[in-house]
Amino acid sequence: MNEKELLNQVSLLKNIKPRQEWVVFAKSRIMGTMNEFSPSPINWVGQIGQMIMFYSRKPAFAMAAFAILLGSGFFVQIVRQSLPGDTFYGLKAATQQAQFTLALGNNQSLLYFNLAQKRLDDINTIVGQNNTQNTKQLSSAIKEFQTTSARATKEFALLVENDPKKALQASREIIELQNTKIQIEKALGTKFGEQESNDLENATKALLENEFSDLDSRTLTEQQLVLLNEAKNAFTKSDYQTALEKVWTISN
Amino acid sequence: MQKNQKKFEKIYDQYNARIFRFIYLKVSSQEIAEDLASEVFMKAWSSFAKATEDEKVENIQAYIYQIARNVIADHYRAKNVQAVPLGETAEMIESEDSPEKKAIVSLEMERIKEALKGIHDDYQDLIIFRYVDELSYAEIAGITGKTEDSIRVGVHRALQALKQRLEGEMEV
Repeated sequence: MNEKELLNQVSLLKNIKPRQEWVVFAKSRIMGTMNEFSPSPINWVGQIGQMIMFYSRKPAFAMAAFAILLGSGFFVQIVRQSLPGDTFYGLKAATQQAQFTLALGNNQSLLYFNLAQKRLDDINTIVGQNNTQNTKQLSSAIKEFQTTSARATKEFALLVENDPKKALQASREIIELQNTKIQIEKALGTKFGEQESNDLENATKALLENEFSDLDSRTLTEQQLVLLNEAKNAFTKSDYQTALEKVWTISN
Repeated sequence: MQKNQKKFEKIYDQYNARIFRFIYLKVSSQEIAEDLASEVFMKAWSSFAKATEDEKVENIQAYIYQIARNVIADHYRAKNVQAVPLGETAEMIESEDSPEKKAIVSLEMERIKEALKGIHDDYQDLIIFRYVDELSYAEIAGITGKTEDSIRVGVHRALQALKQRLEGEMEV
C-alpha cells in the first residue's frame, strides 16, 4: 500500500459526524442560561431550545416554559411537523426529550422507549407522504430511530438486571414499539433496525427468565399456575409478546 | 456574559463535530463519545465564561483539543472501555451514496479505525489531527506542546506505524 492509498483510506474517517439531535441537545445543556430573543430566527431557535432544556431541569417552571412555547402557535406547528433533515427537527427532538425527561424523571428506559416511539411516528409520517424525494429523509429518520432504540434497549437491559419490577412495567412499551415497527416495515416492504430488535428480544428473554424464576418461588392460585404454564409454552416458541402478556396478568 | 456566550456558541458550532469525531476515534463508542464531548464543552465553557479580558485563552482550538485529550485520558483511567459492535460506524456516516457504497465505505472505515487503535496513542492523535482534522503542523504543535519539527517527524512515523498495522492485517 503506498502513502497516497493510505491517506485516501484515512480520509474516509472524515465522514464520521455526530447526531444532530445530540448537537442541539448538548448545546442547550452547555449554555444553560436564558438569553434575550434576538431578531435572527436561527438565534431564536437556539434560545427556545436553551429555555426548554433549562426549565426541564426545574419542574416547577416547566409548565411556564411549555405555555410560552405553545403561545407562539405558528412556530410550534412548524417545529412539531418537522422531520429528520428539516431545519427545526433538532429542536423538536430536544423538546420531546425534555418533555419525557420531565414526565419520566430517572426512568431512562421509558424515556428512550417513548423517544423511539416518536421516531417511529416520524418514519410513519414520511411513509405516509409517499414522496420519492423522501429517501434521504427516510434514511435519516431510520438512523434516528435505530440510535434511540439502541439506547432504550441498553437502559432496558440495565433495568432487567437492577430493577426487574420496573423492567416488567417498561416491557409494555416494548411490545407497543415492536408492533408499530412491524406495521411500518409492512408499509415499507423492508425491515430495518434488526440489530436493535435482536438486542431487545434478548433483553426481553432475560426479563421473562427472571419473572419465571420469581413466580416459581411464589405460591400461586390455580388460575395463575395455568397462566404461568401458558407463558412458559409461549416462551419456548419464542412468542415473547404472549409470554409477557401472561406474566402481566399474573402480576396484576 | 452574553458576549461570552455568543462567542462560545460560535466556538461550539465550529468544533463540536471535530471534537466528537476525535473522541469517537479514541473510544469507539458513539454514546461514550457524546458524553465525553459534552463534558469537553462543559469544561471549556466553564473556563470561558469566568475568564476576564486578561485571562482570555489565546488559542481556543488548542485549548479545546487539550481538554478533549485530558477527558479521554481520565476516561481510560476511570473506566473499562467496551468494544463497540462493528456496524455502529455505518450509522454515523452522512453520505448520499447508495446503501451498497455506504456499506463498503463503512467496512473500510472499520478497518482503518481498528488499525488506528492498534498504534500508539500519540501516533493516533497525530494522524487524526493531520489527516482527518486537517490541522497544520503549527496548529498540532500548539495542541501537543511540541515543536513543529518534532511533529513532522512524529506524523511520518505515525503513518509508517499505521501502514505496518494495515499491511500486517492484510497478510493475516
